[in-house]
Amino acid sequence: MTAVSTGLAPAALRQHARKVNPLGLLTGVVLLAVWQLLVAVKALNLKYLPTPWQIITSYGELFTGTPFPGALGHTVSVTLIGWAVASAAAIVVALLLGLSRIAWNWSMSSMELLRALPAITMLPIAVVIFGLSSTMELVLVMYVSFWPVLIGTARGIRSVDPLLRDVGDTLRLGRLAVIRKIVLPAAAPLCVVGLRISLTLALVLAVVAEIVANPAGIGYQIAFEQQALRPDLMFACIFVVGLLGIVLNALLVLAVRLTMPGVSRTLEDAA
Amino acid sequence: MSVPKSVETPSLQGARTGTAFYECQNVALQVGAGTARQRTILEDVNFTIGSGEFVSVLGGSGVGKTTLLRVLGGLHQPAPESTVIFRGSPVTAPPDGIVTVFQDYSKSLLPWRTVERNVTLGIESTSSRTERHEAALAALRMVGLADRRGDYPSQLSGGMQQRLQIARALVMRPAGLLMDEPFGALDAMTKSNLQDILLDIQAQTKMTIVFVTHDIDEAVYLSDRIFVLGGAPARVAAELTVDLPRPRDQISTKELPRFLELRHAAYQAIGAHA
Repeated sequence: MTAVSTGLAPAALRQHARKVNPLGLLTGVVLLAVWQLLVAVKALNLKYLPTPWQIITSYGELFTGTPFPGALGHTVSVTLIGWAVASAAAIVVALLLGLSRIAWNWSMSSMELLRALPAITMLPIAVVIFGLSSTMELVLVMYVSFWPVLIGTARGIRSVDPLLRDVGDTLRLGRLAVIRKIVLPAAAPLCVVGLRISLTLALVLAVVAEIVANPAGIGYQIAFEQQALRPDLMFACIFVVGLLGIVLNALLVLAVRLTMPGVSRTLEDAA
Repeated sequence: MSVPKSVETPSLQGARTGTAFYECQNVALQVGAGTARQRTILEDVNFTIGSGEFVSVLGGSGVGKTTLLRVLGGLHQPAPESTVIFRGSPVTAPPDGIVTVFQDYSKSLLPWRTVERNVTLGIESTSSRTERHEAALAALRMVGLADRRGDYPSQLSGGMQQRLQIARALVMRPAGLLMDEPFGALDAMTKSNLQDILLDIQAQTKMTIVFVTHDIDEAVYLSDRIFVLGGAPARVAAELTVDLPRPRDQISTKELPRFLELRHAAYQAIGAHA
């Protein structure tokens, strides 16, 4: 565990760092060692399976001798931009649905249907409309990010205890203040759960779109290295995608802790 | 009926003085109107509450005590023929000067706000930051929670959470508190402790308190008057004037023969209308 020297809410950061599980990490290291051993003694003798060591040593080349840094930037920015825009839109729509029974009744069945449709089936449609482009990738990321945030936030708003509305009434908060001070914070934990699910899905769909259709980003490079018979570089890219998922999620949780300390207290119950 | 003379028929005796805090006439309430499940909860409820009085509404569970309190608090609209007057104006929404304290304290606090910020919830639009802080501190001192102002509600015991809810009401400087079985879920020791805190607060603030309970000893110990709610639909079946001296004491007040008499009368009144 590293000492964190930011002056900003050190307690929140420390709590965050405590979540790192050293024993769990050790298991991963042992698995990599077993993989290394199996390939080294030729127990596993697949022509294109590199050893972990070969993969690790290929990172130097990956960062300096390939377009990887740009690809990483592309994937990260498409994921984050698509996710952020779609999430903001989803929260606005969820407010409408959560606060208006009419809107809820008219739209919820369609929502459930669209949500149940695997997002990947939207890829051919997106390609037909937007071509093999980054716009297509971005739209796909936005589509998949939208639903979990929408459903989570709307459910959060609808599940606010009626007693809390009575509390707002007896303290004479007024309709807007009830929404701002009671309904939204009460819905925040389920909204954050939605945001986390969305972020993971956004990264997955970005990479899939890149592998299958858009010649850009890490996904494209994974496919490219595979075709170029460089499995070490391919695996190196794959590991980065995995790490990226963990880092993005951790940053999101940290951001929630720092900006909404009270809400993050109730987050564990919702998650 | 062999009840002591303190049991009177429902009357409007407070109205004569002209200082009525609440005046209720012919209050009725139906639920499920127009459906097969239509049921009348309250019918022909009449009473007057004077300023500064401590009145308990006593009755068995499900009789309509909470509903009556919600009507007084403007959280529930009664049938159109009802008259509910608070300080001269009809109640159509939660009136200024009245705060309801709910039975379920854990669900009526905001778990994402600290103790202090729970208290300031009702005064944020009307006061500056320093005023808020001072007012919250004063209210928290009254319930003995000033040193826990940075904690979150989940870090407090049940009794403390209910004290917090009371502080959140007090900070509004209400003329009256409506309390819905506020101590019903607490253990006996915490309960008697909170009863004394409440009596202290009322002695200091001269607030009017309407207190719903199903605990007969509690009603007699706290109140100036007790309305026994009974029947289906419920009405004020009996009214007791509690002429016990104040300040009251958990031990000596409850040993007074008069306390036992009143307790006896209350049990009988409830038994007769259960």
